[in-house]
Amino acid sequence: MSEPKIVAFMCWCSGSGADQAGVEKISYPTGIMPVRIPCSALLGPELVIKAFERGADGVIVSACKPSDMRRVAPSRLTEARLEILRSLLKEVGIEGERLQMAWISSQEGAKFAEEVSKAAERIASLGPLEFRKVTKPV
Amino acid sequence: MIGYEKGSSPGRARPCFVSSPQDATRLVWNQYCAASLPKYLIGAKDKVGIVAKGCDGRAIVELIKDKQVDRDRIVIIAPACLGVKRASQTSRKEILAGYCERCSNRISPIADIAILGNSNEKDAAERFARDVKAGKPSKRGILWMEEFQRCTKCLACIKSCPLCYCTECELDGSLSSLVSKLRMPTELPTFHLIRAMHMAGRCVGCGACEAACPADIPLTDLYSRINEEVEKMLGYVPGIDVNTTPPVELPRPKVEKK
Amino acid sequence: MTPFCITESSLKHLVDQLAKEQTVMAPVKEGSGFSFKRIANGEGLCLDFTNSTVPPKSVLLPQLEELFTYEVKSGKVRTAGSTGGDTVTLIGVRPCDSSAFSVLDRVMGGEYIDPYYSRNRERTLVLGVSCSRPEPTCFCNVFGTGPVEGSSDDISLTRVDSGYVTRPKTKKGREFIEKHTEYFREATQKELELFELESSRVNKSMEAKLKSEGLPERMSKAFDDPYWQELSRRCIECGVCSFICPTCYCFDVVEEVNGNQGRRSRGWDTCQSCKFSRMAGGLDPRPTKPDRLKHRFYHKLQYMPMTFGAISCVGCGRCVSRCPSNVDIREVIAKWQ
Repeated sequence: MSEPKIVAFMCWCSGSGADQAGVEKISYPTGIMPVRIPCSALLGPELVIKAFERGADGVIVSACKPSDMRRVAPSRLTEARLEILRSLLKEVGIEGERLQMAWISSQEGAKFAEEVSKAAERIASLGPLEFRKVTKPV
Repeated sequence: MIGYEKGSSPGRARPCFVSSPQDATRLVWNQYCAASLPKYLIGAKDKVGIVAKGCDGRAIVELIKDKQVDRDRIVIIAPACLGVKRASQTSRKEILAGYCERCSNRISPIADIAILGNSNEKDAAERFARDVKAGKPSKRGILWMEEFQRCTKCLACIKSCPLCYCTECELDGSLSSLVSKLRMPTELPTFHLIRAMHMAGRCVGCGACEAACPADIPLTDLYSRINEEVEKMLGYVPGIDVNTTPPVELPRPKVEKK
Repeated sequence: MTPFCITESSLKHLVDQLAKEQTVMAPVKEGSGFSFKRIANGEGLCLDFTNSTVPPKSVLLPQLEELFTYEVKSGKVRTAGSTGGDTVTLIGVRPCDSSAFSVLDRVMGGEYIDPYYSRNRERTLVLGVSCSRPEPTCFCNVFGTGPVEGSSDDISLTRVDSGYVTRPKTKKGREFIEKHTEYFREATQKELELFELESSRVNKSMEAKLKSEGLPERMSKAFDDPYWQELSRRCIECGVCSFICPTCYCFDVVEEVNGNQGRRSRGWDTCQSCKFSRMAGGLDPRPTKPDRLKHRFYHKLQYMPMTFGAISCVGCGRCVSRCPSNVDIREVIAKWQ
């Protein structure tokens, strides 16, 4: 299959990992469209669903590792919310694996590229998503 | 006093607002009392009495938790509900609504006055509760993307829902980059998926949305499925205990601060 | 032209032929109701229904209609209007919905012609079919918009044992029958008698307590009545009434822009929405729910007759059966009777 179209919502810190990958010239799949947001916990289901509607085969949400957080880990919140969203996607017939989460610290260029490539591979193995032709629940 | 009165056609009852004892003779209670009344509590200024079915009581619990309704300003009359009947579209008979078959408690979890009915009704209510515990799960195998294509984007589901009280609804088209105000076929699944996420861990299964939907989309089947996941993940069920706080993982409505 | 008759099977064969050359739209079972959709052949024709959930006005005034697209290139704007479409034969229109077309014609025609509606209207042939089983919520007889024939029928069909007694009503209808004469034959005396009996039976089956005479004048006396406050208390402003009403025509216009390309479309809107009459600067002539609900009834029962000479309710009863709060226009009509 040609490169899957993936939207990657990156929190500010993990997004700097993407910058670092660029600086270090570490490549990651070209079908990924990065969208930087201040914090992954700010990400509501609306944008993820809209990404699928607009043609994304998969969505990756990259968030800071809880070990990097001072106290409460907002990324744990994100994880739970995405899990609820996954159950909804599965119910309407979209594979839950199309929504991937990656835990990346800032400044980790190589780690960013590695995590994102792994997630992209998992999405690629599912084939393209024909959003409008989705039928049976998974 | 918010209750039900006889409707204008056979097989219908409708909300009614009674403000004097003489008027109270208008009130009825039967299996056609489908409308969800807690909706009318929001923004009410005076002390209000309300007739609440089991599901309506669950909605009131949620509204109290969300601070949209003041427990001290409402008087809840809770009759034992035998479920709501709807005209079947296929035969001309009446059948019990799908969401009533899944109901977890036929009498409101909070009440000032509980009415258990005469012994026949009480037996029926208890039998019904036993049948429900035998577990009628939400329907599986519904082809949701097909169902969504029948949507008319009238927003009746949102308007009729007792728990949809956002001052500015995200889905009414004002946020045109999210969903258009008009009925764009590509956005119909988006509308419903976002709504389902907004209902996650909040929907109490009153069925007001299904009763209002002109396309008869079985919305409560979808919302109850997601609620099952939320219960598994977070151990939380909406509408039961006024003293629990909804988990922070769940969506919150946006209300303008006054 | 004398009445004709077409048998059930001939009608199916006629549809088979039409469907090859043009678009045939008929009521199709969808979910738990019916919807006017394109059918591929005569087998898809099922007239055993009371009425569709969404009225066939969607053929003339679609819920979503592209107006034009545009592109900005080297400082110049190029527009492309939508091209309209196929000829449409619309079969299975009930008299109420057919009469509703006449109401819409007055609004969309006259001094200012709506080009999109006109184009759709021109290319559509209306084959009306009489009702045989009115619902308790039907009240077309109050407005004379049914139950046997509708005022916009090009051809009216009424079921009798041997087929449909067919009466052409317009030039378009007559030309259609002439063009497809092999499917029709002259109605026999017996068939005409059966038609009379059937018309009489259906007419008698409807209650006639409501009166539409003098309705606009009655409404003008009631404008400040506290009834509107009381009635609107249970209204939830869902707008379902507007969406399923065969005479509602209000629309909103949206634009989708993508870089230097854009598309402008229009689609159904409802005056029951709290945003409907909001204006720039914050003024809102109908700021409250009673204002908006009152407006719906005044528009249908007074403003339309005053401006366009036609009461804008055709008694189809959809709003009566589908309003979640059982707001019933029949009660409004009866209130000051």
